[in-house]
Amino acid sequence: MEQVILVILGMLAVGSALGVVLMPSSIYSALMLLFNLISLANLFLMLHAQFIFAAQLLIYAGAILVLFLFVVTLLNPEGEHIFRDKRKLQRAGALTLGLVLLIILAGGLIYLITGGPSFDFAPDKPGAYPYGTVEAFGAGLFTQFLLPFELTSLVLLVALIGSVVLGKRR
Amino acid sequence: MTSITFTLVISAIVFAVGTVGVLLRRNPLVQFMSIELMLNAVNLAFISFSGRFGTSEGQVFVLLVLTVAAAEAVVGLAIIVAMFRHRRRIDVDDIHAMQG
Amino acid sequence: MPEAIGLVLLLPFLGFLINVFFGFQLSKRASASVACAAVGLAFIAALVAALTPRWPEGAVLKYDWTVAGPWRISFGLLADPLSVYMSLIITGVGFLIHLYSLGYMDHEPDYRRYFTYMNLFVTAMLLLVTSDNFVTLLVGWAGVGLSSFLLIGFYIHKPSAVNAARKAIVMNTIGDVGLLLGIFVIIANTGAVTFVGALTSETISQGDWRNWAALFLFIACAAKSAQIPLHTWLPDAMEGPTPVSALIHAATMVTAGVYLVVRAHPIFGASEWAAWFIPIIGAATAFYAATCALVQTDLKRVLAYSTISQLGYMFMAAGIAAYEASMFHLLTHAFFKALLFLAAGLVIHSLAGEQDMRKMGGLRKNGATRFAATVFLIGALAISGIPIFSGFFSKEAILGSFPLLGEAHTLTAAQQAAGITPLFLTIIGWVGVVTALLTSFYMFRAYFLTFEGSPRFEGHPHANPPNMIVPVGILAVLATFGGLVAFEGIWNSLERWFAPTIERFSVKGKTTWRSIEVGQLDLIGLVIGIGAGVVGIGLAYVVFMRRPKVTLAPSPAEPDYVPNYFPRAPKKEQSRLAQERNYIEITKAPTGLGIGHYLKLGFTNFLLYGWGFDLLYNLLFVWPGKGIANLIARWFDHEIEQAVDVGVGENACEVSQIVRYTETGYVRNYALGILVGAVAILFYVTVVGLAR
Repeated sequence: MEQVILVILGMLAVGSALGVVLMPSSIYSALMLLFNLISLANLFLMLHAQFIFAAQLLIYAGAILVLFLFVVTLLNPEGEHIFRDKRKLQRAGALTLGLVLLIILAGGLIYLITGGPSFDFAPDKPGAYPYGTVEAFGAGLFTQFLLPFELTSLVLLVALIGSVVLGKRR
Repeated sequence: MTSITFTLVISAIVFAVGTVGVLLRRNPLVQFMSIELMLNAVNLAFISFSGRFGTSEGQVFVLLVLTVAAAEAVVGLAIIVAMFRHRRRIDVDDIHAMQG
Repeated sequence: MPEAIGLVLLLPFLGFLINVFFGFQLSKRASASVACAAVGLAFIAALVAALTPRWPEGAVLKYDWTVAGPWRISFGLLADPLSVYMSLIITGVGFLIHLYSLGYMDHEPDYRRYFTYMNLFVTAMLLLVTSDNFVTLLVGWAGVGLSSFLLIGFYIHKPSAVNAARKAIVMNTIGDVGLLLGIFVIIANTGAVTFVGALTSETISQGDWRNWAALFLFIACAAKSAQIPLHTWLPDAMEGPTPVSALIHAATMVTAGVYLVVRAHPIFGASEWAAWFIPIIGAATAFYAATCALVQTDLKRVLAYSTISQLGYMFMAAGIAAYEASMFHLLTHAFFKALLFLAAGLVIHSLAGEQDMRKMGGLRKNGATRFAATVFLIGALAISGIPIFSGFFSKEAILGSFPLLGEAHTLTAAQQAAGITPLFLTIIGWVGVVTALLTSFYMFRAYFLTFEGSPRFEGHPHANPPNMIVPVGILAVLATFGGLVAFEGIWNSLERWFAPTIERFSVKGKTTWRSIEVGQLDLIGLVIGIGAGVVGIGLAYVVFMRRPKVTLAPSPAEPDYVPNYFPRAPKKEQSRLAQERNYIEITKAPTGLGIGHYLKLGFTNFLLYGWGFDLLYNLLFVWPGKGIANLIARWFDHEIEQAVDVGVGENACEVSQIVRYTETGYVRNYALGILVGAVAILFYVTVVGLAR
């Protein structure tokens, strides 16, 4: 049962990703992105990452996507047909390289997981909390990774100031 | 095929699709959405490996990626709006002032 | 409360930061008030720190600054009698001079810039004296050099000021390199950077390194404290505003070298070389500068040479391990020399910028400058070593540590090892006595020329505001009675005060510190010391009051050179090279006196130009450097330029014609380029890396 749900979610993710790229109108692309985000969030849940599931829904699907939709409706761009691209070399190169990338990534990852050299990244000492719980996540975030976590606030601040400066009418 | 192998393959596919999207689309909005796709694919890979090794480092990293993605989206969209205000048309191929 | 030393350092720094970042928003008055309040509060904090009942063992307020494996440099503040003593001088005199600057700089357009630099200077100087290791000492050392550079060149539109600033920073950089080398030697041989760690190390008595360390450190001291042969910058530094001369080039910064010798006394006191060269250089400088001061016509230059001379005095004392006498003279010198400078500033302010003593005279009878005459007289009496005044005690303490009449004298271990005889010390001591005589002579020459005799000035001197009068008054009181602090019962005998420092910096219980009992002098020493001062004053009176027709030497001749303050507007047809040449013309050093200037001048001018050190340095360094540069510019550059410019340029042009087609300007194309690279790397990592 679990495998079936996993496969369905995976198919949804891939299908909606293709939709993002192929839809001519950007409003459809945005909706497809929403599908993609939700299916990925459910995949996270299936992989026992409850907190990331919630964060994905809140931040991505809730905040970022709304921002995208807002800009799409504000600018109302005209549709485009990617297969009527004037730059043929660009299109051919992109498709070829994309395919090569896919093969290398997927092949490399499958090889790594199944038949590759056995590598051991198992934790030195098991954490105090069982894997996947918010406690385990929080313990990692606020002890070992405290400095990167604090630095993200700086990133956000810079982004905030930058967008204000960009958005100001001169 | 274990569930982790499966999600890793999904992440590889989504990443490749996102890459192609960035390169093919001329609408910067959709290019940004494709970049979000790529970031999400990476997140999925992080979560998968995190689950395989049973540590929460991968999840912490995903949270950082989420934040950076949010910052990047905000700045990127602000640039697009500024660009639109300047030209009344958004097509990345319109901007080629650096042509040699 | 020794922790207050942190506040001492922090407050001026805060004042500096406020003035840097918000100074342009503050009103003129507010900006100056911030600067003054910062230094004033720092003085109170220093007082709090001085009232410590027991000094802490290690550094207070310490954190790791640089960590390299097991080796670390920490940023620590040292609260011990020596650093607190220096902090008190810096913040106390500094506060008074800040107050004085309120009035003196009132008409300057760059009021805020001035106070920003002043706070920066105080911060750097306090860092220098409170740091607990050699590396942060170096930070402060370079910081005072920088702020001194900025303040000497404060009048940025005046070429002579800019050149003086440049000269100062070049000389100071020589010293900084010396300090750096000295620190390297110390770290290499003791493995520690903190004073406590390095100076109490037992390796001090092993090997020859302490001599090298002392030599290198002394290069730094000589540059900062204007000792021969690195002294030439200090007379020129008088181009800065007068309060700056008082604070930096008389009371505090130039004494940093003395501080370093006293702070690192385990090295200097144990070094056989230092036992020779420090007293010799100190005495030579004291005598040399006193002779130069005899003939100067610029009031501030007299005081500048006098400062060099007095610093030589301090080094004489420090060189024979009489560190207390040296530090005591540092304190009283800060009082009376700051007083003299500020009194000179009152006169200069009253006469609207006139500094030439030949255009003064008779100012004591003028109502506007009568106060200046009184306080200048107090300062002159103090520096001449007349009893009751502060300079008397410290000068007697220095002279008293030499065996002037060949009496029995105990030598330190290093002096014995160096083969120094009491006769050598007697000679050095008598140089000091002669210098004392010269000192009182030139100082009263300055007093008589400026304030007595017939008026030679033009226009009407105007009165000085009270915020200039009050600090000078306080300094006058300190210059009069400041010498009494060394007596038991009034404050502390200096021996008791410095005892914790001596104990901490002794190697295996051995100390090289020779304590001096201030106030317990023999009668003959007293007679010699006071006699030198009185004879000098008498001579000056005879020469300049009884026979006032004595001709004065001409002022230091500026070359026939009309400075062009503003570069010509760049013309279209003028090439960039020509514009640069134009710029170099404008900023060319006007101090470069030719040989002819020296040849046609007599002995007076030999002294006036400081024994021709500037000419010597021009001959040795400046002119050969310029000659080589010209040679390269004319011949080498021209030929090579022809070959390289034409050849490389044309080839680059052809190549870029081809390459430019790759620059389409489309973002997507560039992204594709990135992807090609990414896929290639990934290919390498997976296929090649995993196959291995």
